[in-house]
Amino acid sequence: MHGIKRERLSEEARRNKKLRDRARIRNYKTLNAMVLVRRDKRDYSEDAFRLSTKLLDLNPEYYTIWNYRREIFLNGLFQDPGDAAKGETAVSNDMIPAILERELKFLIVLLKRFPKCYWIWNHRMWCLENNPKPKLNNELAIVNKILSLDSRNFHGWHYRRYIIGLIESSNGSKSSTNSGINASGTELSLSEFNYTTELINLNFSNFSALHNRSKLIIKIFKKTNLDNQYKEAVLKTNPEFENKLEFLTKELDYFKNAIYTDPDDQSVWLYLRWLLCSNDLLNLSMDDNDNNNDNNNSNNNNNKLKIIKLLLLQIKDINELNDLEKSDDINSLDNKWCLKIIIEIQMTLFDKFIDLLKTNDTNNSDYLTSLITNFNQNLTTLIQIDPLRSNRYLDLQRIYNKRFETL
Amino acid sequence: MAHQQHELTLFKEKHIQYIVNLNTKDKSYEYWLTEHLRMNGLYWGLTALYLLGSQNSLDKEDVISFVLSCKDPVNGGFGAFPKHDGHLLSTLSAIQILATLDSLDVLNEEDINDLVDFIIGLQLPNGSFQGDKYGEIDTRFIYTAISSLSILGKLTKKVVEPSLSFIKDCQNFDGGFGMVPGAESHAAQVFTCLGTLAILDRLDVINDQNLLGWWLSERQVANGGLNGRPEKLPDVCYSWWVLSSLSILNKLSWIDHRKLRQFILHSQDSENGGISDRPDNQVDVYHTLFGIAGLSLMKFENLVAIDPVYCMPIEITKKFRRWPYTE
Ligand SMILES: [Zn+2]
Repeated sequence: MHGIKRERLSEEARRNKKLRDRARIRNYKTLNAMVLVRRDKRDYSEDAFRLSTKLLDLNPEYYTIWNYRREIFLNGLFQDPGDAAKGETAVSNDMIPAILERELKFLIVLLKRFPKCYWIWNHRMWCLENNPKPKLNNELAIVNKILSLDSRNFHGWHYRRYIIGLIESSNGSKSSTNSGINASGTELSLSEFNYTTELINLNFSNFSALHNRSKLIIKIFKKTNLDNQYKEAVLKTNPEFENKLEFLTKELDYFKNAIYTDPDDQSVWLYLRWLLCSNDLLNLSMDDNDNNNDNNNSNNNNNKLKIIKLLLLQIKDINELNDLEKSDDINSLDNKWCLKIIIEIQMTLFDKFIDLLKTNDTNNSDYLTSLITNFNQNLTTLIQIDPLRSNRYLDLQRIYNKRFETL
Repeated sequence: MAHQQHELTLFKEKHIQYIVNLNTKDKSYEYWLTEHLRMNGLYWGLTALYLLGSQNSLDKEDVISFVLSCKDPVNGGFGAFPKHDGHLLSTLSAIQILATLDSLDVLNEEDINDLVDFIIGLQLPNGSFQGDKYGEIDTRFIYTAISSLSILGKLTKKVVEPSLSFIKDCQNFDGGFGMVPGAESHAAQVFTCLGTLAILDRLDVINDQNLLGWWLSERQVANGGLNGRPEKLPDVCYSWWVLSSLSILNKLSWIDHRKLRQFILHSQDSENGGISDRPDNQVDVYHTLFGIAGLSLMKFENLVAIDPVYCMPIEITKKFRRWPYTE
């Protein structure tokens, strides 16, 4: 049980609850027995259906009854009476869409009362999959509504991606004869990306939206790399998808505003860490044009230098923010999240670019030494200001300093 | 509050009484509404009792006959209650209960074949598992399937390889895992994926163990409790999902144990026993188990040691056949 206050009932309240429970239990057990008896008899009638509605309305977690309900649909309500008379079992009833629409209405009522019940969501998906003409745009509107009420709702996001997937695959099968871009399908990735922008504009501390955004960015870049026509279409509305470096720069600008507004918001920091430290975007050589290039190596090095420059700039910026925070803090403490992300960027530099940092003449050899010193200082500070995780910082110190010995 | 913290202990006797009484005391309306969780509840209760050193306080024969009465004659799995349909969730609980009671031999060869067919029959071509034939897909079900097969000693390469590839696809930028590819990381899904990988001896599938360890350690909030996702409230059950995951990654020390212990102990019902999701909420057997299991992983309170992969006592799981099988 989640989020229900512990209550201490008085003797009298306990007696009253017991009395009240007695009637409710009798009612529930009778209804349960009636439904189970019908199921044993393979009763797929309207009457059995009505009783299952009553029971699920009392207890939507009762998964066996959802199963029975689906059996009633498949073996009873979906069957054309004419077909049944002829002994045919094929499902050919024109009424199926209407029957399932009615079911979706029942489910919405239940979802309002039990928004976290897996079985209801699951049954909703079953209804769409068994409907020859599902109204997917209606479902998208419903999920918009749900996410506008609770923008982190796990089930809501899951359902949203599921619906988008269904729309994409139905578009895909329709336009499979067309050569070139699968217009509607790809536009969906983009409109979903823009939807995350909308949500983040409302409240940037929405990790669910940031998560979805990360997936969509990768998807869109993969497609723009493969398909020029698609890329042109994307650039018309979203010029930031020109190339990864361009995108990265724009995205960093946008989210830096967010961290200045609330430097303790972990959602945005985790997202920034992804932008700056994962291979997904840093792997710039994956960008088009470079693939069949003769001087791939020098291109690669060029890209790496660009990234190093960018990362060093980020460290500088975050340090500035940290200084501001420090001067605001009554105890002049460093900001935890600033330092946490700085060490992430520093570890990325050590992990991916240590050779260039050692040899490149744009950085004198002292630079690496001072980077290492600063990294160790940051860890020492974090051990003090973030004691819950001090052992992690100690482990990192041990691991990296062992590596530095061999430099 | 500060002076109270020193006095807090685990109310072992009260928790034992609370669990033992779940099935015997006056039954409320809510009791009847939760029949669909009875098998899982029995596993949670039995395991908690075992960790408290009191595994004999449930009648072994009663428990076994209840489990057997829940076999689904149609699909071969176990339901949560007699006449409830077989489902992967209740099937794993049933197998765990029998293994904990050292009684898997009450299943005859036909029972075992039915079970294995039921479980394997729920795997889809992409490697995922549905919970039953009605199609709900979730990394939870890969864990329940693989753990069940592992306890029965019936894993096969044919089941293992696609499962690994599905789990691989569920990884996210923060290092965590979601319920399906594309879904946001969640501590419970992280556990089910890591648990599966640990059973299959394939932790190398994880892209970045340090990153995942970091994400997990950030689940600890100021009051010592753990949450399941960023910016969410702490909850005792994550003492299990997060802690067992850290333990599997060999990074158990990356959070503050003393403070987590305080959070769990504050969530006890000091009068009637049981542990709730957070202090002053209503207790239930699920949070009672996961609170105690968390304390056991951190080696507090002299509890019986728990296996972070199977969520069962180590003295039971050490007998399981290890994958890859040698003969
Ligand atoms: Zn919980």
